[in-house]
Amino acid sequence: MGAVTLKGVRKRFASFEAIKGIDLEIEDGAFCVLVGPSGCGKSTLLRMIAGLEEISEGELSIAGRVVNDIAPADRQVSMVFQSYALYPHMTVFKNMAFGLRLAKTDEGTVEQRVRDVAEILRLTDLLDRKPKELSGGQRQRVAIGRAIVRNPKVFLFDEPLSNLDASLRVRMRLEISRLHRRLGTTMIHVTHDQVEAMTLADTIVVMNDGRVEQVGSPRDLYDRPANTFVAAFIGSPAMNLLSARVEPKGLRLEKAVDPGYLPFASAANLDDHIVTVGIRPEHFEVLEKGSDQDGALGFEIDVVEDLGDTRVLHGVLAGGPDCTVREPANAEIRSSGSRIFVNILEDYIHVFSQDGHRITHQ
Amino acid sequence: MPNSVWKPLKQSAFWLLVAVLLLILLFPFYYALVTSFKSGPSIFEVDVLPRGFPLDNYTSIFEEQSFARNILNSLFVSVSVVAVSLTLGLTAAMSLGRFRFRGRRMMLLAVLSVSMFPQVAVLSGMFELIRVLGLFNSGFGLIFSYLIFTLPFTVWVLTSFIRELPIEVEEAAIMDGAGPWTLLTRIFLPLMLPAMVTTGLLAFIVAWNEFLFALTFTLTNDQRTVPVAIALITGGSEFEVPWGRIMAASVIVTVPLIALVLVFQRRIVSGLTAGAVKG
Repeated sequence: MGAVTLKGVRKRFASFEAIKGIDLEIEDGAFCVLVGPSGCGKSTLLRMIAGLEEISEGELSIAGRVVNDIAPADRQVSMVFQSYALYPHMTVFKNMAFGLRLAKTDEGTVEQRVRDVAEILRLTDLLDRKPKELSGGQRQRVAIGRAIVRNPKVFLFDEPLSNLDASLRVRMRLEISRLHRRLGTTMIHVTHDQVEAMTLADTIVVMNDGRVEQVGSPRDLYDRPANTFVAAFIGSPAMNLLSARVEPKGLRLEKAVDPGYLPFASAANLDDHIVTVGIRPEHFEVLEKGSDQDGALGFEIDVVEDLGDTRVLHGVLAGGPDCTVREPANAEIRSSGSRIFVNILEDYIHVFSQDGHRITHQ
Repeated sequence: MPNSVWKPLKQSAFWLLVAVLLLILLFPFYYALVTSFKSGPSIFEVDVLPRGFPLDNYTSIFEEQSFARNILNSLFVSVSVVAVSLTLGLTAAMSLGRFRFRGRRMMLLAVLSVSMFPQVAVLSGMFELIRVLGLFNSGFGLIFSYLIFTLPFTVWVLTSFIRELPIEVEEAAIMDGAGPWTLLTRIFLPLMLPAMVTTGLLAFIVAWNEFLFALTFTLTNDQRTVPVAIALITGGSEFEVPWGRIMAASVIVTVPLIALVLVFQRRIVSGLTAGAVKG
């Protein structure tokens, strides 16, 4: 079936190495999202799977067959492009039928398949229109329809939602999700939007600088980021990464003027002296006024961003490092310049070594 | 100045300018038309309006000269030049616009620089080439030589046009199983039709009106194209320049160009502006 396997895959452009050795196993029927900052090589990797970029080194197999040297059209993959890439001079029907007709499918089957797919994507009324007469969302659906019609083993999506406005993007995201459930086909989706990655994927591949930083379910990545890169990339607002010194009493934040200790029972077990501590903004507990709890840290509010459901407080933690705290919007209104106390549960503290790797404790 | 005075003043100045421009552009052609209906000494009288429409000049160029043959030659040469330049131009543009290869820039510059030489500069060299190839005094020689004007702009316009086409459309077609030929004929060709009509028409006009090469590379009247034939139209005696017939012939050969431009004008405009703004 449509499993995709990469073994030691590399891509070199002249003197620049875009993909620096990737091993990846994508199960049949999975929804895999490749995510990372721009220039991390995620689109290149997708294009290599599609066959639009040659593979410099390594092996790519789709459905158990090595496809390094097989033409894009014969890999049984379809791709949806960021700009939709519809054929401007053809009607919606012809756009969707183009691949089938090139494959010399008989006209009755072409008609049948295009109509079936148009039905699924609610395109039936638009079949005679040209792309320029369609809205952005409709064009996107046609592009997806063109991919489905060919009945591929793997769908490749190259940032298909980034050209849509915010509300339409959410709708299309749902639609893609539904489509995946309905078709059960392997999908590989490239995006730089971590929300899109979290909501769509059952497996997220976080890439950076031509390498895979971590592979896992959205939950894994959020709960147990393998390194500071993933930690900072997944989650919004981003995780606070603070430098701390390992002391017998716990982790002491660098630059902190208050005592600035974070509770960390197993601190004594750490080999490192300096570590990076990761705390998600939503994992701070903002203490009620006056309840000066033992071990609470002072927080000097600088800027307050009210997002409606939650409030994001930017400020200085324990008189030292810059930090972000998120609290429910129903808490009392706070003004910039005021000082509050926050608490942090030990379970929510991520510890990374200085070179960025997660330190597994206990 | 109050607006009520200023505005009509500006407007009339604008239309005056338009009128002057039209007069300068159209007067020579109008005068040719008027002259084409005259014969004998009346040619030298200045008339703004034609006095009648005698068609003597028109019939005589077909009866006393092989002007029909000349028109056919011109048609053959011009149509062939358009066909060859578009075929070569499109395939060249596809490789120059889409593939990266060593010397691509050099090639584009070379193509452009060819069109910068004055015609006279290449005349003698071209003459030798045509003689060696055995194309002297034949339409094929003219077709061959006209390619040095038509190919550069065809290649350049089509190359820049092809570069404007989103590469993803091409990749989508590749994913759909299109090979290079399908890509060219089913994707590029239809998308580039406006640009091809424009460049094709320009190539046609250049080939249709070309004089110097046509004069040099043909010898006998039955191989001549229209511009040369017109120049060599003879009068009743060697002391008479047959202006009436020359004008009649000129009017005849201008009509197809005007018709072509009118037929394709919408496409030309969209071809000329295509690529300027993303559609």
